[in-house]
Amino acid sequence: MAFIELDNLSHIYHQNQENEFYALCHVDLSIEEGEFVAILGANGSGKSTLAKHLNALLLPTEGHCRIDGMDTKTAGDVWNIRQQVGMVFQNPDNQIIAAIVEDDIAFGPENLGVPPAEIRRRVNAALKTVHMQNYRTFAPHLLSGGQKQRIAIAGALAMETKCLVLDEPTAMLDPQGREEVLSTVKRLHGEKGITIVYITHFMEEAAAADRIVVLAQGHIVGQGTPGEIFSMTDRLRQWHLDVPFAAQLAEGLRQKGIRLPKGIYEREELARELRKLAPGATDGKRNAD
Amino acid sequence: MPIELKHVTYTYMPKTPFERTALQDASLVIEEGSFLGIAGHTGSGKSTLVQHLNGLLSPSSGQVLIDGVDIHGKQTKAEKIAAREAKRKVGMVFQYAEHQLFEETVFADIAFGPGNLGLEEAEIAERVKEAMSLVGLPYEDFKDKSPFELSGGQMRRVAIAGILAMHPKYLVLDEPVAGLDAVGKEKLIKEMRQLHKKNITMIFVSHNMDDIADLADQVVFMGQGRILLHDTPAKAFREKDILREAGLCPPQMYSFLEELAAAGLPVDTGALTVKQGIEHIVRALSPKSE
Repeated sequence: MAFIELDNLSHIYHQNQENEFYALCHVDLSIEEGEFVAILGANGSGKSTLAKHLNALLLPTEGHCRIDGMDTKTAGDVWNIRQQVGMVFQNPDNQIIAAIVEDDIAFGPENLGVPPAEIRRRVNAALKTVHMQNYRTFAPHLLSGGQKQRIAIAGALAMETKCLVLDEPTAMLDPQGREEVLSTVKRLHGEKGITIVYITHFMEEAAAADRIVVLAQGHIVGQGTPGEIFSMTDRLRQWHLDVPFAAQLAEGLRQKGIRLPKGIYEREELARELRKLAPGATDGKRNAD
Repeated sequence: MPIELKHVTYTYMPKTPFERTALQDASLVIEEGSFLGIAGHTGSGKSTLVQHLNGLLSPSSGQVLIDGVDIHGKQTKAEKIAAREAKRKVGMVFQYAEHQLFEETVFADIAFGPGNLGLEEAEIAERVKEAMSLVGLPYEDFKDKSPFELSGGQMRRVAIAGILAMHPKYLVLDEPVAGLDAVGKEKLIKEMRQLHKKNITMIFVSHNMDDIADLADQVVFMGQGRILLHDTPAKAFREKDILREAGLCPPQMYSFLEELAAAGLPVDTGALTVKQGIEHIVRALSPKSE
């Protein structure tokens, strides 16, 4: 059984009322332990609703959500589930509660009744993992957005979480903050084998995932590797998603008669292909006219 | 007539242990009819700068002139009135402006500003209608809706319409497309272009150099509370050292062409948008007439 299993899951807001709304509609999705899955979708596609099922902040109206075999509908398992799945939200200012960084990270384990020495160890380890050990005694409001998000991630790590669900963690950050958060997430996945569910609007961030899941109007409409998803430029537009720079450029060049292979979505790859087409290139390939 | 900043310095919490100079000796002329993009790292002073443009912050030293009126020169009653009128010419749309919606209907929310100007009902309704059409929200479909049942992009457009209904001559937008999906973003960018065509001077703050390259005819780079550069995009992105100092990256097309050129493809660099870049690459790949 997969670590995360959504089984025919529907979520209905305002059920049996005039404004009844299916935010998620019969969704089936399995995520294996150690996987890095990015979830893409337009505003209102159901991404955040899906994320909130993964640690039982929302419960399915129909169907089931199972984490490590535990059903989120089983009231007795909710705390176990939340220990396994940590959440990081979009707004860095809405999820920090303590006045000192290390207190904030200690909050979770304290609530679990972890002994003080063990809390100390976990807090230090978590801060080290997100490269924030020098900010242990800082007041969170003096940190940048990217640093705050890393503190939020450290808070989840101190719970010894197996899985991190990040709901647009970089939407409110500047480019440097985005890079800090993304590289932290990649490291947690690569070095610690933490399962990552990463919701984003930024295609270049989704490119870091093993698998991309696309949601539209509460349905899963596409799944595949970043290469598979990003080469479908028409579908991306249909799904109201950005087309990555290299795919957009390659498409424009193809329309001008430049013979480029399909499926290019990375800059390096496009640059390589263009060099091959240059006048005087050694392998003799040139554009049509 | 322009907006003019003359040697503006702003210090937060002066004479306390938290004293911090967020803006240092900033001088800038924003010409009427321009489309100015302001870029800079977090903490570079961008937000402090734009909050001076309509008097939300008063400079610790220096002057702000809107169409020649010093908005903080409040000696006489007449000057005070002139300053207030001048400030009204500058509309300000904050980051995540949709968080500031509060009325029960879209109409009431947009009408709130003009209502405060003491205008007649008919004039207010006219302005609301006009503002909604400027941001692409059909009046009949949206006027009675609750702003809170709209999508993120629609909510932001309601917030912008609320400012437009005040008939600003200058419109300042702080990160206008942050957090919107591709379609919401594309629509808003198109509407910003149309507003500029309707003779509104546009000033926007963005982290996204591709958006700046796409929209702006003037750019300002900020770093450590200073204006590092003010120029046209074509010239500004050539200044690699300043970009680096500001912690900014050039537009993707710009750096991609440089990479191609460095790898030996005889391509003209300097294109800022994908459209221009395509032309440069096509030219480089065309067989030379021999």
